[in-house]
Amino acid sequence: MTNQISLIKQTDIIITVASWEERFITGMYGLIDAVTAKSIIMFFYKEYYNWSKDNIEKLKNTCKERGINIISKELSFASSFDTWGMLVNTIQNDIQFRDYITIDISTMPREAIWIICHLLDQKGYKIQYTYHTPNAYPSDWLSRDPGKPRLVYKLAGISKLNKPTTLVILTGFDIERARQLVRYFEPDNLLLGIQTGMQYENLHQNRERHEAGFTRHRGVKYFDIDGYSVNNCLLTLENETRHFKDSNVVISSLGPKLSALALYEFKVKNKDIALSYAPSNEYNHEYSSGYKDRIIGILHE
Amino acid sequence: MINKYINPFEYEPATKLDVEQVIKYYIEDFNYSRFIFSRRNIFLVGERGTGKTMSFLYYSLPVQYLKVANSREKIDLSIISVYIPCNTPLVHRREHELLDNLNASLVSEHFFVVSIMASIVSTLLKIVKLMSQREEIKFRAEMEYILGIELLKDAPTLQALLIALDRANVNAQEALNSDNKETIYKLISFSSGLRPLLSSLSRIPKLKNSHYSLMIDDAQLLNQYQISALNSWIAYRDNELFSFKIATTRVEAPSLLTSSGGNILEGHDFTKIEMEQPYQNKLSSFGKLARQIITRRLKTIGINNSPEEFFPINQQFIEDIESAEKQAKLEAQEKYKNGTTKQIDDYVYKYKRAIYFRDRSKRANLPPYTGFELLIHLSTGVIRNLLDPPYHMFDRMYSEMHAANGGGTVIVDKIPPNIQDEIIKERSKIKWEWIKNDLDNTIEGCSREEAQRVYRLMDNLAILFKKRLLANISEPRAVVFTISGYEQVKHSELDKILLLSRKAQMLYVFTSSAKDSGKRETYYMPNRILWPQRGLDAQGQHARVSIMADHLLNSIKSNTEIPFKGDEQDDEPNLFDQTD
Repeated sequence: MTNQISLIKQTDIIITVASWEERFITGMYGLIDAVTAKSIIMFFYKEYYNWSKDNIEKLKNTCKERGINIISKELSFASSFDTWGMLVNTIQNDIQFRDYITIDISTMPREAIWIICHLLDQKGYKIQYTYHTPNAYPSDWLSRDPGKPRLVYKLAGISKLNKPTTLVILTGFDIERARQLVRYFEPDNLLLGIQTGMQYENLHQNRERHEAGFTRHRGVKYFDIDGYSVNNCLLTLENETRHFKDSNVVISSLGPKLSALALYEFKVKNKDIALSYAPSNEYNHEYSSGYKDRIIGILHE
Repeated sequence: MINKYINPFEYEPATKLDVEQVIKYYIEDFNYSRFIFSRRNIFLVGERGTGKTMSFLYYSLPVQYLKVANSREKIDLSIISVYIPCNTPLVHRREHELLDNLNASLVSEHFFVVSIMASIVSTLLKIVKLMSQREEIKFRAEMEYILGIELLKDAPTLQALLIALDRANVNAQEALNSDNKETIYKLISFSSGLRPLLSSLSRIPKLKNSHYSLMIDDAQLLNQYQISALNSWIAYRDNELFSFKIATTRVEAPSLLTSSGGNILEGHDFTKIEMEQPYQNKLSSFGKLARQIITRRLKTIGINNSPEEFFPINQQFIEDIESAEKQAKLEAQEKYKNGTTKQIDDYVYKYKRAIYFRDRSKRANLPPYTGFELLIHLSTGVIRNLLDPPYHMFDRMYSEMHAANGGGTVIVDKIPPNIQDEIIKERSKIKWEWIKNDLDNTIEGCSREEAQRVYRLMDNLAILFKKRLLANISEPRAVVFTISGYEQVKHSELDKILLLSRKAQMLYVFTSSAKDSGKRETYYMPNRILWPQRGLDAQGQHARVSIMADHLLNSIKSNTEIPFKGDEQDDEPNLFDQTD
């Protein structure tokens, strides 16, 4: 991971999702300067408003001081229908045509990332993404109380009749969320992408736990993946799924947030596959600590 | 000679088994599953692992075809059973939520109907020489007229029909994915597609007397529009040509509402089969089913031992139970001076195990848990639970033997009591740890607080049952309970915890008739795999304990022990008493 700030494109608009995490506010302060933003669309989830409101107010005040227009809109984990409606209306009505738009995916749920990218793509905008890495994740838990997995509106692909289901999961720290997806879809083929590298004690927390946790699943296939590189991730996905084209492929990301973009890229290139979101109803207040670095890139490049 | 590692107690979902394995493993008796091969509308209700999918797959035409091929009999086409899975990405689509009710209903029915039609056509492809050339031309013309499309000329008719159905399926999905609201797609309904297809098929001579048993698996996953459409088709009660067999979980059982707002009724429109079986002694239906399952599984690896021989009981346990039996007999003779033989025998039957457990408790270590009959009780009437400990026992035994003989050929012809005991306690401990630490990471809609409450409920039930086991009361080994003093509003928090416990399959629910009034009553049976870790008798018995809803509520909210009042507790023998 390197700070690629020299590559950043100037864009008028940033789309972000507010969070209580330090990397949200610190990252946004830097990002505003880096892209010379004139306007910010800040979504927030009502279920976590109380945790996030200090950061929301801080960002609003900063924007006010610096003459940056900021629009704040409420989303809901509990109602993907309402969230969809809000995202569609905002992107259709509140954005005048721009060449590039920056989305800050650092604290943006994957479902929102996919829908926002889809809607921006439909309008013909080019998407610059940024991801702010934290200094550390907690050692105990990140999220719990899993909700029912769901296919994402408009991104559920094309399911063929009488074909087996292949589930591809880019795994993360929470093995139970992966299990939840497997229980829900009961796939005929299961492919588990395991993050390479030693970051955040990755090897112990991810690889070993998943390999131990799925020993009883017949025919499970593991593959290494670098979720921190959208392009490498995409290439790996193309390679690992090539033998499963004749099945209904459902794909989900629980690993590094950047892998969600790779999944979206993969989905755009393979219109038949379905994107699935595995929600959690409870996040750790200490979800991450600090702000370490910024990763930037351009989607579809 | 077995060289390859094959664990005969494999219990992966039935859809993972190949056709041969389904034939090899399936037991037709003691589970009412023959109802599936009938012309009635049937609901199979049971949680995961109770054998619903296996039953459906077994009766599906491809499996029946292979079965008769093996036996050189002729296939019976009077009932053609078609397996229709609902756990597919197509069913999981949610775009109907973005549409108005009418369009949501139409498009949902379309996907469902097209899936059913494709399953029927795929099933019929298994029938050799289904149609003559002339019949095929006629059938093709009818289908083209019905669906308003031209079938591919170069493909055989059924293949061409499958391609057309897939096209209709793809078109509708593309329209939903697109944001062009003007996109037109031709939708197929029950009336315009499925019903005419079945009618056309009935005009093919080979199928003229065939009835289609449409087996809808995992119906709880269908959306509300698909459920109400399905219920409406059931309500027709046109069982001459087709019937529905519907498998669903009990916890998330779909509504019985039809599209027109009516209800389908059990007994009137459909027959319900409960797949979880409340009685688990060796003479019960489940006991007999379990025996056949284990015997059949052992035979697949060339072992002809009986289940009792394969899972021998700990010798010390046998001796201790014999000693407890003698003690119980002495107590009975003391209590019933001049008593009848029946009185003495009843007392001995009821108390010998309780006496054994009371004596063991003084030594403060857990008793050994071994034997086939115990495995049946530990299953709590669920086939997957029955296979879980043996699966792990076999694996452990195989590993030890394999390592001991340097990687050579291994034949596991029994599981020694020490390994049985070790695995059962381990599985029990894992369940407790899972409830305590991971329930909220696993069960949808379960928060950390609620996970703690489920743990408290199970923990306090274990404490109550332990106190009862050690007390000198009339029904010491009761491990089933009913709830008294229940009020809907006041106990909604309790309701949620009971529901989550059921979702986690830590609690099973049955209804039965109360002995005194004959009224239907709800019985709660915690998963008996929990009891070995607490030194309880997993063999259960006999009575149900009536627990006040308030007491259960206190136990989950403030971790207060459920009061134990000795023989004053409202417990009584009931139907369980007669059969367990």
